[in-house]
Amino acid sequence: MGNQKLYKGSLQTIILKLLESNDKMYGYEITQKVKELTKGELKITEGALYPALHKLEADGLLDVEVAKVGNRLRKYYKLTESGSKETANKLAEMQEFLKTMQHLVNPKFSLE
Amino acid sequence: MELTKEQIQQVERYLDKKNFDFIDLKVEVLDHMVSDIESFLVNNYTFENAFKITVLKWDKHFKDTSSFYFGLQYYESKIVVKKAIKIFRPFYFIYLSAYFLPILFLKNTSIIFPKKTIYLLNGFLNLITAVFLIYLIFIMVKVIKSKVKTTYRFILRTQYLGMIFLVIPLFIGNHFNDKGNLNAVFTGFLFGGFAVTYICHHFYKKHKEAIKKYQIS
Repeated sequence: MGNQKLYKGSLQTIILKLLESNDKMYGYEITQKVKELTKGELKITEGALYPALHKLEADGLLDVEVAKVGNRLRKYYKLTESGSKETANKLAEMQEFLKTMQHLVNPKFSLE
Repeated sequence: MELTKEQIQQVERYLDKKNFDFIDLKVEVLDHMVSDIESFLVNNYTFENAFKITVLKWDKHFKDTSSFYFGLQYYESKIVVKKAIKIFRPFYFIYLSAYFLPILFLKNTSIIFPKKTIYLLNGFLNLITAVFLIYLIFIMVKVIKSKVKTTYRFILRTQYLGMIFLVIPLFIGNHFNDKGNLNAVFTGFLFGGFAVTYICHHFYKKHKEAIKKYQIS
C-alpha cells in the first residue's frame, strides 16, 4: 500500500496498456482489473482514475462509446489510432525507466 | 447481482440531490456507483447498507470547489472541476501567451506605421474585433439557452468575462499611439480577446458533441 505514490506517475501508462489488451473497458472495470492483476497491491481510486481518463480523452488518445447495459447506460473507453501509437511509446519509456532503476538499485543483477 | 430499476433510481436521486447533472459525467459516475453497490450485494450486504457505504465513498467528489484556472467565484462539484482543469489547462496557456507575447514583442520593437496605413489598419482591426465579439455573444446566448449541463458548458460560463478584451479596444477604436506604433496593451487585449473567442468556439463545439453523444436513453 505504501507504494501507491510510486505508481501514481504511471497511471496513464497502466490505463493505455489495459485498453491495448482489452479493446474497450469502462471505469469500474479498469479499477477491478488493476486490483486483480496486482493481487490487490494497487488500488486505483475513482478520484485518480477519472481525471486520468478525461485527460487521455481530451488528448485524443481515447475514444468513448455509450451503450445500454441492463438497466443503465455505460461509458466505454477505447484506444484511438494515435492512442495505440502513444501506448507503444509509453511502454518503451517504461521499459527504459525500469532498466535504469534496475541499474541504480540493484547493479549486480542488472541485465547488461 | 444486478440492481433493479427502482434501486438505480434511488442512486440517481442521490446524484440529483447533489446537483450532479452533468451529462458527460453522470453516465459513468452512476454506472460506477451502481457497480460498487452490486459488488457489495454479491457479498450478502443489503441494498440499504451497500448504498450507504457507496455514498460515503463518493460524497467527497460532489463537494463544491473552485480553481484559479477559472476564477474562484465559479464553483462546481470537485469531479467536474477536476475534469474541467484537465481539458482546459493547455488552453489557459494559449490564452496567456496570446495576451502577453504581443505586449512583450511590441514593447521591445518600434515599428512606425505611416498615417494612411494606420487609418486602414484601425478600420480592419475594428471590423475583425466586431466580428469576433458578435460571434462570442452568439455562443454566449446559445449556451445560456441550452439547459443541458456539460463540463464544457461550465468552462464556457467562466470565459464570458474575457469579452472585455474585445470590448475595450473596440470602444477605444484607435490601436496606435501618437508616434504611429501599435499600442502594446490594446494589442495584448485584442489577441487575448481572439484567444477567448477561439477557446469558446472550441468548447461550444465540444458541448454540442457531448449532448449528441450522451443524450440517448
